[in-house]
Formats: sequence, structure tokens, C-alpha cells
Amino acid sequence: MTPRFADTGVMTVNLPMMFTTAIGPAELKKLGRVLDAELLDR
Amino acid sequence: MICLGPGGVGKTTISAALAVRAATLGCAVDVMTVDPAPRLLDALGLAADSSEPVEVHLDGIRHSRRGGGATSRARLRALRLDPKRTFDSIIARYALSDAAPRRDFRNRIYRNLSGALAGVGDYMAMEKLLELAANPDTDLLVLDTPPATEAIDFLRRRRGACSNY
Repeated sequence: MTPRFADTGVMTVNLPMMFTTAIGPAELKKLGRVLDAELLDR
Repeated sequence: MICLGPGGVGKTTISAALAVRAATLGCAVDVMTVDPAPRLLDALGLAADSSEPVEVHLDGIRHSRRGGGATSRARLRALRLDPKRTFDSIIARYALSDAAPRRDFRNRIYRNLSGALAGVGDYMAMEKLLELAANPDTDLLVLDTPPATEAIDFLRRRRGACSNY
């Protein structure tokens, strides 16, 4: 799915996990690191 | 930082993750959700349902470092916005007398308007956002907005809200 969006020029970010209601602090930290690197640093 | 979009796309989780990240890097952060389900507070280990910010204690936030130097500003606070309560606080703030708000809060028309008026969640989110933004000790505000089919509607409400004051 991601390459198809990226091929059309849409900015995409690969996230490290699926979002569930079971997400806890450790997952939030991991997700935050990815968003920081992939989204905010662009 | 405002997270916009329809329901179920991950706004609440993204908001929480960005807030945790910024706090871990040493920023003083407030994160606010207007999601009816208190998932953000659950994810942060909070049970409280408060319209005022509640301090979140997570490993790695306190005593974090930025650029090699210790920072004392780092903190994370979360709140779940209650549109009805925020609406009431606005009425109380601008009331001409102390008795007027109590009378208004009992009024059946007011109770219906403050709870069910279209877009009231957006307006109250913007109101709370402006209130929190006035705090000079906060480096970053992260807002998880109500679900919206047209995300731009939320931003348009800012113009309407500001013109009311």
C-alpha cells in the first residue's frame, strides 16, 4: 500500500505497529521516535 | 500541533506518541483530546477524567536531556476535554453576576445547546487550546481533535470563535 501512495507523490510514513486499544507507554515511545524521525525531521 | 481527520484514523494514538516524544526530548508538553472515549488517558496510564491537565509520569520524561544538558522543563500533562464543562466555564467567566450562571445551567434550552449544538466540541477545543496556549511555561501543545469528515472545518471554526470575543 505504502509504495503505491509514494509512487503518486503522497508523503507516507511507515509505522512500526498497528494501532490497537492495547497500546501502552512503551509503544507510544517507539511510535514517537519513528514519527520524529520520519515525519518531523523532513 | 493539531491532529485532524475522520474517526478511526489514529489521531489519538499519534497525538499521544508525539507528546511523549517531545516530553522525552525535554519539552514541557500538554496534550489534549476531545475523543469521547478516554483512550489517550488509558494509553498514558491515567484513569482520571478531568478537564484540567493532569501530570503524566512516564519513565524517560523526567530528568531527560537535550543537547547534552539537563533540562528541568520536561513534563507531560494530559487532559480529556469535556465540551459541556468548558462551555459552562465560559458562561461563568463572562456572566454579569454570580447568580446568572447557576440560573443558566438549569435552563433546559441552555443544557441542550451546550451539549448537542453542532460543532460545539470543535469550538470548545479551540477555546481550551487558546487557554492552554497562554501558559508561557508550555513549549508544545498537541491537540487531538473531534472526528471530522472535513478536517478543514475545525480550522475554520477558529475564525468564528475569535470573532465572538
